[in-house]
Amino acid sequence: MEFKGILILLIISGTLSILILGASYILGYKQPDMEKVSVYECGFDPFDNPGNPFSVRFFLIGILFLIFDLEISFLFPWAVTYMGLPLFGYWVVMLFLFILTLGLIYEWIEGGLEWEN
Amino acid sequence: MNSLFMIFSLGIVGASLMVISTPNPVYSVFWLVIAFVNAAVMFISLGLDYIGLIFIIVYVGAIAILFLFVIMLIQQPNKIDSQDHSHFLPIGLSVIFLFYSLLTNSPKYISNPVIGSRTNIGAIGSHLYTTYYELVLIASLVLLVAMIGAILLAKQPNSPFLYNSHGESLRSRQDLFLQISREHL
Repeated sequence: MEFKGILILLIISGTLSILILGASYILGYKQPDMEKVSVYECGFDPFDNPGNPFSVRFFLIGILFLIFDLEISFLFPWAVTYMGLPLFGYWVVMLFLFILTLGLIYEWIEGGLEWEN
Repeated sequence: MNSLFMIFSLGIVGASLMVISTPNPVYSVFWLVIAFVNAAVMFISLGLDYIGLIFIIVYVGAIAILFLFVIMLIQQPNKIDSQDHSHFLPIGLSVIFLFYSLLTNSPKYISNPVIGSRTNIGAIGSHLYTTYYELVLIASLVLLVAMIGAILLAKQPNSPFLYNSHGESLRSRQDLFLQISREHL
């Protein structure tokens, strides 16, 4: 199977990172300090607790990314079998893309990607 | 093959149990990622390599990140003592029943397809856009509804900090063209 190479890569990279991290953790000279172990936030004191709710726009960007990600996953098999498909399959994919483009146009008009309203 | 299947399904079950038993929601998202990766590896070990890789791309790469966003969006509850979740039990049982009946009673979509000597993705592509074209169109409509719904839900009402009564933005926007060409005007 062609995934054997990926398995070997995962094993080697995991062992290597554990080895390096463990060696620096075990062999390194630790001298903890109040400034060193405190939370680092751009060199400032932490402004606020983490976990406060932030803008919903990050979530919107994430959802829109997810939708086009799924669209790509529908297009991968089409790209592979494009030459063997009848014309009907071509128009099905074009209709699929057209319906999603309607969504993109709606998103554009509504300003879903504008950061400031 | 069979022992691999058992190992990965036990991994999925264990990671899912950790998802619902960890008090910190961020850790439960990490366990969810582990469950997704287990499921992807299980698909690959069953020979469904395209489905497995798409599982990693979509579920780990996008949906788990969305869950992280949701966790950061909602207000973190201060008390982490265990609450009573037993009222979710009927919903969970009905979802399990629904999936089970769907998997056992749909011979049209679960029937053994003739793959032949094609690759996985080639077999999917040669059937998805001709035999099951209605599923592709339904999927595009579902994605369209999801997109419009997300935009409508995330559209914030005009907040008083940014807008006055005329609906104009109080925050002065930067006009790059004017700034750059100011010296030449």
